[in-house]
Amino acid sequence: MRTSVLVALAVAATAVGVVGCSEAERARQVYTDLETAIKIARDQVYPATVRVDARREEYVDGKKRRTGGNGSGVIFDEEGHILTNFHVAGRADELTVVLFSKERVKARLVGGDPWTDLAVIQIDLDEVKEKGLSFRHATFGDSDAIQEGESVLAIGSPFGLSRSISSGIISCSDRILGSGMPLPGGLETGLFNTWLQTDAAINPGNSGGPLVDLRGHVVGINTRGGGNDLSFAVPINVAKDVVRQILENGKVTRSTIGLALQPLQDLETFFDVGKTEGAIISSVEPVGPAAKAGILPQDILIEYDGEQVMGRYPEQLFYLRRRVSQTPAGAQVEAKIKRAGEVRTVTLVTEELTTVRSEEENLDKWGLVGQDITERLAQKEKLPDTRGVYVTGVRRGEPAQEAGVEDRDVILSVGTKEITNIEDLRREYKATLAAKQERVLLKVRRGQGVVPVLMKIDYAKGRKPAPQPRPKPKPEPSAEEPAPEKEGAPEKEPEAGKPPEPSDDSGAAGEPQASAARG
Amino acid sequence: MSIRMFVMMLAGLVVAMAAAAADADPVGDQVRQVYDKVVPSTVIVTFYIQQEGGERINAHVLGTVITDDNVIMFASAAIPSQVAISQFQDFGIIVNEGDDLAEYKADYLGKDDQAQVAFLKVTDAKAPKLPALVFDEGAEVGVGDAVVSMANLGEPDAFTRVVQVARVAARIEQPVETYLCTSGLGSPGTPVLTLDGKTVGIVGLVRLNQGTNAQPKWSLAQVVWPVERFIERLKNLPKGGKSVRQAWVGVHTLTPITKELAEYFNLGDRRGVVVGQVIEDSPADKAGIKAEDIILAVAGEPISGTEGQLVENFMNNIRQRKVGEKVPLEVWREGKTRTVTLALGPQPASAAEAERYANTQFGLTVREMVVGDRLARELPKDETGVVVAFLKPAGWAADGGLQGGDIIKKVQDQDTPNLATFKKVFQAELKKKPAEVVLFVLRGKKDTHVVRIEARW
Repeated sequence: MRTSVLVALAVAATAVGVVGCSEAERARQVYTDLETAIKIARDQVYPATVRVDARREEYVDGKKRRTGGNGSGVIFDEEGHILTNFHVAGRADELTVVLFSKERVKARLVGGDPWTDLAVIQIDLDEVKEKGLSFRHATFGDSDAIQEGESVLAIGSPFGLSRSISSGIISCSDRILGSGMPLPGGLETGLFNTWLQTDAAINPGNSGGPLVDLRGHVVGINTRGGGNDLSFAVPINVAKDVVRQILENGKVTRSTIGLALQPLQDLETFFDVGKTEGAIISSVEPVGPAAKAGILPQDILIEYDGEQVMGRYPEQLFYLRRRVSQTPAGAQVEAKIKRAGEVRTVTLVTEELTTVRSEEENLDKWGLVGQDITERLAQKEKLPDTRGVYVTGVRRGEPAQEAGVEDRDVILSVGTKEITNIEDLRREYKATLAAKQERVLLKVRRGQGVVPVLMKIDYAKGRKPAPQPRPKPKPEPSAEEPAPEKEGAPEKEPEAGKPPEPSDDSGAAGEPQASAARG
Repeated sequence: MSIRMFVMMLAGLVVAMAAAAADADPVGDQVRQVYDKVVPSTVIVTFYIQQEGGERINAHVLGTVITDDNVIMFASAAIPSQVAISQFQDFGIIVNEGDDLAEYKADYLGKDDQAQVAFLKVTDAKAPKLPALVFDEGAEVGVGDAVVSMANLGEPDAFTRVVQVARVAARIEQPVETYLCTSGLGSPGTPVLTLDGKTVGIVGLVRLNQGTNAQPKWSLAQVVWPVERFIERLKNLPKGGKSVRQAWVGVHTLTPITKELAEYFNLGDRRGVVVGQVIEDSPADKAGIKAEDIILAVAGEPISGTEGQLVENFMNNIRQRKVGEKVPLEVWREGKTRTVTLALGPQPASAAEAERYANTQFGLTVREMVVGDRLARELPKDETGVVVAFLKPAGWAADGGLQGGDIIKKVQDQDTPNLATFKKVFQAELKKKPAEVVLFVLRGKKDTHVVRIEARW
């Protein structure tokens, strides 16, 4: 509030001051005023911006590795909660933040939401107290009110260079990018949020940092960049709801009704509907809520939960998709569809939207990492159902790979025991270990076919030696991404009764997604 | 170095060898004799490939006269299966007559991809009777033998024939017997002779791993394709441009029964292949073969070979047989072996052979769905429709958002389960000159879409 008053005063002063000035003087004055405004805004948010260093464990080719990277974040309350990107911190098991004072403190992950690429972490307040440190927090603005042309600042640690600031204007206030830019590891993102597009430079390492208006309010979280003056931030109003849910429940819940939509465009005559009436249901998931409600492809969705559906343009579908996602999971929702000119009312029971990933399990002795098949994964991979275990990695030279198991195979049985989920597999795995079974037959599904694979397990070897680091094409050099730690170190067997570390696919590195802007 | 320069150098080398050292170089002498024998029996096969966009591409390959009534044999690779048969047009041959090149019309007879040969017959009444080259059945070559084959230069050089001399470097036994040579052979489909003038085969192509197991380098290598591989085809020529249908069982996703798997299943020294998927309505399906069955023998011949060869050996065993042949398969299922007899079917039509319908106004070509589509896209048996085979860039259909590979299931809300129905429905709709044609399509494996094509009459 104080800042806006200051800005207003500055503008007023300008208005008075410029009377009778020359063009050059007036330009200089405007420039000076802008500079003043930027400095004021900067000082509001600078002390609340942190550099986030994240470490995590992940499986690469079935091998557990520790990797790390960094990004940015913004402290938003007195309890030291920090908003950042999911791809920076969402799956981290070790977090450190560098405060404005250049002091390092530990932080913990509160929760994350891959769909909006946001995560909330919290500073270790005990450590802050012990070290006698202090921090400031920033204020959230109103991203719905922001307009194209408004000046904004991006603050953060591009390429690990802390306390960097860049400026630009809002290029588009409600860009819709849709899917097609998954987080590393195939996690989908961006389906349920709009974007603030800006020409303020956002580079790797800026991820999670604040986009700030000239009132010094945070209007977005810088998320995607990569050149050509096209940078994208998640609007803060989207983040507010994510933050609320994460602080309340540790996660964000969304719903699905198991259908895909396509814009009506010019098909109103064919489907005998009004020009702005409804959206086309293009696809229906075989066992989802829509299928259960009797909805068919080519039905027109004209009303959802008492609200008229407008789906003439692709952009409009986004709002419907978001509306559906915000319906509580398990809710009964009335919808109206039009089929062959006739309106029908159907009752949909929403289901919780899953992500394609679930916790990975490392079957160490077999050299295989797998996960449960979520509904979303089954949809994405076009699997017939969610039975079995999805193979996410096999280690070279170890039993599974030697026997011919491949990534994306679905394990259907071990010996004569059917496998429906990761728990079954874990149990059978342990049983074969206990029996020191030297040959283990797996049945896997690959495409539509079934393939038997026979693994030879050598128990005499005992703990296997450290795997030879094999020459691998070096990843793109990236200034902010230190080499993975302990590469080639022996993997640890998951401890009994303790879930294995969540693996993550999202680059903890502050790497914004490539910004092939679409939409 | 361009191929042409290379070929000319080689030709020059041979000529130089022959001229300078006729007495001192008996090999050169023999090569010249072979060259003189083969050249009159070679012709240039010419034809056009009608691109769906409208362009016509002229193709030339070296062919060999194999009968007294001017039947020409050439490499089947020249007629790739991805291109519809109807797109190959205006076949003919070019022969050197004195200083001139003469062209004569010919009919395309068909091809056999298994034997790697294709045929055409010269139909032009004005064509001279060309001398046929006889293939010597039973003639043998061994490692170290010199072999002679042919290539040709391009048009400005009047398709001059070029001889190539190589030595047999290895005998490859699996999956079919062929001979790898030390250096380049001539054009695929051209005859290969020994120095004593025996025609022992043609230049063939096989996929070989010329790397290691750790770093495989699979590539198509030129080999000597022995007479036995295609002689049957010469005695029983295809007709009417139809590809010869290979024998077919209808099993898919085959994995070899390795030594370890054989031990696990108590199969002893037996080897075989595991059936991963049985194609619906195929001979295997009708005979009751099931996924997870292990095929141990075909017509009493045990499936053998190394782990990497088993699957190819099994498939090759089948392909060598005739369509309609009743074949007993020894099958292991749940601990017991049984014999399942099935009648080999014809390999189902490929996408290129599938019937098509083109509408130039809409810039759209569709074709019948084939078994290969179902396999590649994991479609269930009851999924029907016609496949978009070609879209003219910026044509009506392309502008409407239709995509190549889309399976059209409905036209204006009427089911189009096959090409005949599609044609009927589509043409009936067009008679009404509609402002729009709305299609319901399957894209990828499961996603459906509505596509609106604006008709700009």
